[in-house]
Amino acid sequence: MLSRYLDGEATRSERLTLDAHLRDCEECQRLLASLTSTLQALQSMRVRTRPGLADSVIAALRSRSPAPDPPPQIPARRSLSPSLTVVPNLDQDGIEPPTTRGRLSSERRRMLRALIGYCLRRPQLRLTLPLGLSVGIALTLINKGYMIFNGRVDAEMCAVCALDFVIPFIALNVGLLVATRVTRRRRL
Amino acid sequence: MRPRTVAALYRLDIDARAPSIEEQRLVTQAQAGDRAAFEQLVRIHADRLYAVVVRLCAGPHEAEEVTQEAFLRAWRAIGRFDGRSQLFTWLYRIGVNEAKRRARAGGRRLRTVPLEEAPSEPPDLSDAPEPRAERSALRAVLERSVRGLPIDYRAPLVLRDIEGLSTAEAAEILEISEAALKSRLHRARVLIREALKEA
Repeated sequence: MLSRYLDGEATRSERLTLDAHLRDCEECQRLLASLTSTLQALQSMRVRTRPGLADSVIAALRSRSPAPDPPPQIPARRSLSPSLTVVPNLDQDGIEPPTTRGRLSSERRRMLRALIGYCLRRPQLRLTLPLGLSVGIALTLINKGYMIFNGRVDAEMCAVCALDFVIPFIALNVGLLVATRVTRRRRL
Repeated sequence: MRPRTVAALYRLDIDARAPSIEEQRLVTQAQAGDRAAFEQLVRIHADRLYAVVVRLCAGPHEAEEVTQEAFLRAWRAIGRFDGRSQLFTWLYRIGVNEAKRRARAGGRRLRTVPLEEAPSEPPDLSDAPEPRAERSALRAVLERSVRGLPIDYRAPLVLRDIEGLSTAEAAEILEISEAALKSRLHRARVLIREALKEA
């Protein structure tokens, strides 16, 4: 409550309660005084200018950047598949996702590549790989454990076992993309 | 995003941050592909964005890179800026996300910057030497303490307490709830206060 009080965001009743408490409590008085001076010190840290910064940004813009993406023309979303369509361009942190209708198959391919790229990033793999491996091992042991322990392993069975790993891994990634979509839609 | 209280209104320095008609015109022109208009926007916002990211990066050089990167991304995506948030909020979000991404990738949360690299105000020559020395020492401790904070605490502190944005704006930039922002902010303030007390 002290932080809200300091920021002028406490309600009237909170303010009155705290004022009354502060009259009697030396410890809170000290804490408030200390937080106030900390805040004042922090406010004195503002950095306002860096000479030539705007010029260097503009130079970088001129040398590195093409024309901007065109603004969205049609505010509708086109399905690629129910789970993949509305995951935005995850490369661009903090940038609103494009909401244009998918125009060409090349655009679909680009989006699919972006989605696969997103799934293959290290933070996502840290989650999906161990889970996929665990599920795959469990499925293999349950379904084919008996055959493996009896030494009846052949190429066909290995291929089927591989599916035990691949399918959960794909399902996990689809789930991750859906969860990301839901989170971002809530934010927007 | 309107500040909720009179105190917040004053903290916001509203004249400096409110988008002017001129700025809106520049945004519209930039969205139509006018690079010169976007360059004007860079001139308006570059220092302000740098002031934020320099506190989140490992040093001034990286902060300059992050500022450049943020504007490059903004230029590429300006067509999709729909005006639901203010331009500076949008730019801050891009810059802060980029700075956080680099900080996490480099594991630099606890890295400190040599004092000669740390950004500082021009010295106040009007004071006596002793208070000046004390203030300089205090400032050094403050710089170190802020840089020592985990990035998730540092970002709210920089936006809210150093740059003077409102709680709602800072929460919007960091894409967290206001309650989460207040909680992190309070924790950050307490950590800074303890660091100052120890010094």
